[in-house]
Amino acid sequence: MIERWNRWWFPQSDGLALAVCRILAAGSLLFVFLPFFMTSPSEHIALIERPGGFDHPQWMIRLGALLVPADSSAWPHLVRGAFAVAIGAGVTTLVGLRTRTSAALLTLATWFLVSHDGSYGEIHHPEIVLSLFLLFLALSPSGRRLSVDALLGDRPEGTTDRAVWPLKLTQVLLAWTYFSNAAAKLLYSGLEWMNGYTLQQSMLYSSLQWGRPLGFRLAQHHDLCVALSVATVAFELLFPLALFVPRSRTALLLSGAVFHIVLYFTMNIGFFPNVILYAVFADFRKPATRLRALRWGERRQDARMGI
Amino acid sequence: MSRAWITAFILAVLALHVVPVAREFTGARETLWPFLAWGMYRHSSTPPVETTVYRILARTDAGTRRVRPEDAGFERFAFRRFYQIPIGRGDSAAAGELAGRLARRWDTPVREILLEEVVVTLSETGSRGRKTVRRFAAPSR
Repeated sequence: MIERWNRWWFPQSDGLALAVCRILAAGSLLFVFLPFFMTSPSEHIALIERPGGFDHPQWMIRLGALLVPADSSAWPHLVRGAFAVAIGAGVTTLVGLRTRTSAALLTLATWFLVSHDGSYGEIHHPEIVLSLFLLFLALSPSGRRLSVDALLGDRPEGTTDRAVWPLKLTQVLLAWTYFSNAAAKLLYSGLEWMNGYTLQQSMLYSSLQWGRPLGFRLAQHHDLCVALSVATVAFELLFPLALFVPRSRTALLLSGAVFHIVLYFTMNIGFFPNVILYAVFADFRKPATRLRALRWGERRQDARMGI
Repeated sequence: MSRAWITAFILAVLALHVVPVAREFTGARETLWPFLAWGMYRHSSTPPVETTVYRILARTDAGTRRVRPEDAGFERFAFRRFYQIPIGRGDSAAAGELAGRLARRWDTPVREILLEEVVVTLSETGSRGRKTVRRFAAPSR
């Protein structure tokens, strides 16, 4: 049992996959999610300045409020500071400079910003798995490869057994998000959830509320909504297969990407951090090996030609 | 970190994700980010397929214009929570607060907040909408 556990969570690895995922996570947060999807600094400050204060503050904000009272004029500065830290630590995590410290700071800033946004009566899900992955980066040798740290000579030789568990844990969390979603639908509503009317209803509201004409069009086709509902539940239930059946991954991850793109353009539900994190399922050794072989071949050819 | 500590960490993360789902079946709605239940759209619906959406407009001396979240300076969910839903329920204080906020941001007096309530019903023959408008006079400042 313990041997199986260790084999799954702690296999030897050179850390390349973790490094690629670190770059994707920090890069997407820095260049896509912070500027285009997450609440902006001015929107945070509008929340702070609105009368009424916090409504169901998140635990991190409650901790912060112990140090800085909720009605203090310092909160806008805290939010601006968190953005500055997120951007600075995002860059250093991306390039792998003092990688673990950078990832820890990026985690702290991101968690603070999402928690603050969710402390006014409504909390949302899209950043959850990405935020946890940032924490995993801070707790693992995420700067072992493809990093300034490695270039500066901090790179330990050989392989390590600590560079796979963050990827595996993120895989499990992604599988859990989908599977528990499908399970909740079936346990609460049974097969009725796939009657087509449920999706028509959700799509009708979201398309009109958030201005998604495509969703309004699709909502008018009951048979299509039945098919999409069945496909949704099937995809969510089957996603855990990606953990154990490598051959199923390509189909499941492509289905997932299509699923999230359709959700975005029909209902304005943007779970793109999860799509970026599909990279945790990828085997980066194969392309890396091919690249090395290609370079090695070029060098041999150059040597033969006397270059 | 040793394997034992990492194992404890992994188990804690997994357990913290299972707890909110389990608790939800007792009727509690977990709100402890980042450990939330994921069944956001778990409830089924039956016909008729009908929904109500609210659009907010503001009347100034220059005319009437649609109010979007960015006009009020809030992200979309906050705008819906603070203004669309309360004003949709007839909360004139929320309408007054919004009028004051818009007046400051647009640097022009807002005379009136108008709420368009649109009820859209889908049927086999297509969609049908009913629109009613409610008016909220802006408090004088």
